[in-house]
Amino acid sequence: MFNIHDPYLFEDELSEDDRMIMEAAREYCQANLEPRALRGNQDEHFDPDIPKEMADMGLLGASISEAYGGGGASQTAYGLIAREVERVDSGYRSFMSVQSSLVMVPIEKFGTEDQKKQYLPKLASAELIGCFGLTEPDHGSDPSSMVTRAVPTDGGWILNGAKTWITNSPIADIAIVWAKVKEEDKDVIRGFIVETAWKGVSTPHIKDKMSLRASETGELVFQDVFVPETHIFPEIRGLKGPFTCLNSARYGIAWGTVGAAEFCYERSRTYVGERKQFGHPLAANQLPQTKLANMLTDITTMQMLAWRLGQLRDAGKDDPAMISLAKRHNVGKALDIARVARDMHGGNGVTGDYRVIHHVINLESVNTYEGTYDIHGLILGREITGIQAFVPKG
Amino acid sequence: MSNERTILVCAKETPDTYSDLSFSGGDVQFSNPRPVLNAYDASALEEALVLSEAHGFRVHVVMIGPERAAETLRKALAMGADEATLLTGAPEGADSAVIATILSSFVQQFGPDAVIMGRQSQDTDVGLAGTMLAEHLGWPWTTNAIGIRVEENMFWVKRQGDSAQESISSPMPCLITCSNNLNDPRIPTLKGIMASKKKPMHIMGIDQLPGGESLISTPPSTVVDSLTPMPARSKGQVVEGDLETLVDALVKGLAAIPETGVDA
Repeated sequence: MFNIHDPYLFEDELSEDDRMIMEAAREYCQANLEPRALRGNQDEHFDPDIPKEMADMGLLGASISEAYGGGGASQTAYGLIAREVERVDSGYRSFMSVQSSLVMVPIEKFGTEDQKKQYLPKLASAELIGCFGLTEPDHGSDPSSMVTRAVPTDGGWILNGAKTWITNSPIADIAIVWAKVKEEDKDVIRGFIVETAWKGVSTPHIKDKMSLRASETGELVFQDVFVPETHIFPEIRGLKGPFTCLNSARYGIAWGTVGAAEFCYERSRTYVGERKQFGHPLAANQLPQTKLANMLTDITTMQMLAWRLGQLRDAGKDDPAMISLAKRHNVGKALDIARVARDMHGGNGVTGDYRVIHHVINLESVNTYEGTYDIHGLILGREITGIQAFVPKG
Repeated sequence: MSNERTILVCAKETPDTYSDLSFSGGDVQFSNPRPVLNAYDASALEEALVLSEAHGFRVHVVMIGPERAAETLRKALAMGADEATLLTGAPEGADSAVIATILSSFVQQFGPDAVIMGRQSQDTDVGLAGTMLAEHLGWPWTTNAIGIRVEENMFWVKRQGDSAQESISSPMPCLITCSNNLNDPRIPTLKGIMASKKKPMHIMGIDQLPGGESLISTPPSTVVDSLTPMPARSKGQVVEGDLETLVDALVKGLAAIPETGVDA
C-alpha cells in the first residue's frame, strides 16, 4: 500500500527508540503547541510556559549526554524532534534549536567540566534559557570580519561589541558569545559564556519582525562587560567553534523543514478535497493534483536526505558539505511547497486561520539564517571546484 | 514476587483509528500503518500510574499480540509502568471470549490486587473482555469508571451511568474497566522512553500459561464475517414554495418515516 505521508516508508527503518521519540514529540506538539501557534504567530507572542513544557518532555538537549541532564538520544532522534516542532511553527523550532544546538552543544563540546556541570542540567530543564551570538549588524555571512572583541584584564576579560538577529536573546539568561581576542599579535575567535544579568549586557527586543513571530529575537549589546576567566572555552580557537554549533543546528533545520513542508502539503490536500468550485472538489482537477504530486515528490527527497544525514551523523561519518546540501535543498523546497500551498488555498491562504502563510513567511527567515541558501551553494561550489568564491575577485 | 501490591493493566494494540481509513477487499486499512495503544487502555494505565504514585502499587501491563506489538507495549513502560508481559500466539480471529479466557489464565497465575483495563477497544468497540474476565475470575467488577481512588484496601469507583454518577466500592482483588473520560493519559517523555529499555519486558507464548494447549486451540465462538463502510447519509430533499406547500411536504415526509426510525 502506498503511504501518502511517507512514500518510501523511512519511518519503518528508524530504530524503535527513534520512532518512539518521534511519536511522543508529535503527540506533544500537536496537543500542546499547535493550539497556540495561530495566536503566537499573529500576536508575536512566545508563550513563556513552552520552554518548561519542552524540558519536561526531554526535548531540550535531546542528544546531549545524560550525565549532564540531556536525553542521550541519537542525532536522528534530535532531527525527528525538530521535524515535529517545525510542523507547528519554525519559531518554536528556532527556540528549541538554539537551546539545544547553539548553546548546549558548545558547552558540552568545548566547555570545562565546571562549565558543563554549572549550565547543562539547568539548560536541559529550562531553568536557564540560552542564546548564541555570532552575527553582527555589519557581519552576517562573513563572520570572520566580526568586530566584537575581548581584551584581557585581571581575572578575566573585558568584552565590547554587539550581536544581532539573536533568537531568544530578550528572554535569555546566558549567551554563547564569539569574539576576537589577540593571541601572539593575531586576531583569534574565541567563545565565552556570558550571563545576561551581568553589568554592561543588554538584550533589546527586535520589533516589527514579519517572520518567526512566535519566537523572541533581539540583539546582544556588550559595553565593558567583565567576563571571568572561568567563562571562556579553554581550547577551541577560530570559526571551527561556532561552525560546530551551526552544523548541528543546520542539520536540525534540514529535518525541521520536512515538518513544515509536510504540514503545508497536508493542509493543501485537505483543502482541495473539501473546497468545491464549478460543482466539483478542486482536487478533481489536473492542476491541483500535479501540484500535490510535486509537493509529495519534493517532500520524499527531503525525507530521504534528512534521514540519511541523520544516519551519517550517528555513525560519525558526516561532513559539513553534506549538511550544507541538505539545509539548502530542504529549506528551498519547503519554501517552494509553502508558497504553492498558499496559492492553492486561494484567498483563504492569506489568513492566519489556515496557517500556511505562517510557514511561508517563517521559511523566508529559515532560508536566510544559519547560512543563506546562496552561501550554502558557495560551500558546495568550493567542494565541487576546489575554488572558493566567497571573496569576490573583481 | 515481592509483597508489593500490584495493579495489572490489560492493554491491547489497535489500528490508529484517528488516521484516514479505506476499504479494500472486505478489509479496512488505515493511513497510519503503525498500530497504537488502545486509548481506553491508555486511560486505564494512566490511572494505575496515578494510584501507584499515591499508594505505591507496582504497575504491570499485559498485552496479547504478535511479537511486533512489543513496541506498542514499550510505550506503556515509557509512560511509567514497571514491567510488561506480551502474550504471543493467540488463535486466529480470537474474540472477546477467547481473549478473556487467556487473560484469566494469566491473571490467576500472576495474582494481582486489581485489574484495570479499558472498557472497550477503540477499533471494535465490543467492550466484553473486561466483564468476561471478571466472570472467569469470580471477582467483583465495575465498568465505565470515570474516577478511581483507593481507601483502606477498598477501591472506590465513580462510574458514569446513563443519567447519574454512581460511587461504588469493591474489595481487592477486583476488576475495573475505564472510560476514556477518566483522564488525559501522559505522553511518554524522552527520559521515560530511554528508561523503558531497561525495564523488564517478558515475551511468552500463550501455550506456556496454565491450560496453554487448550487456550491456543479454543476456536472463537463468534466470527466476523465481513467489514463494510458505514452507510452514507442519504441526500436531503430541498422543498421550495409557499408556507402551505412546505407544511404539506413536511407532514408527508414525517408520515413516511417508519416508526422504528429513519435508518431502520
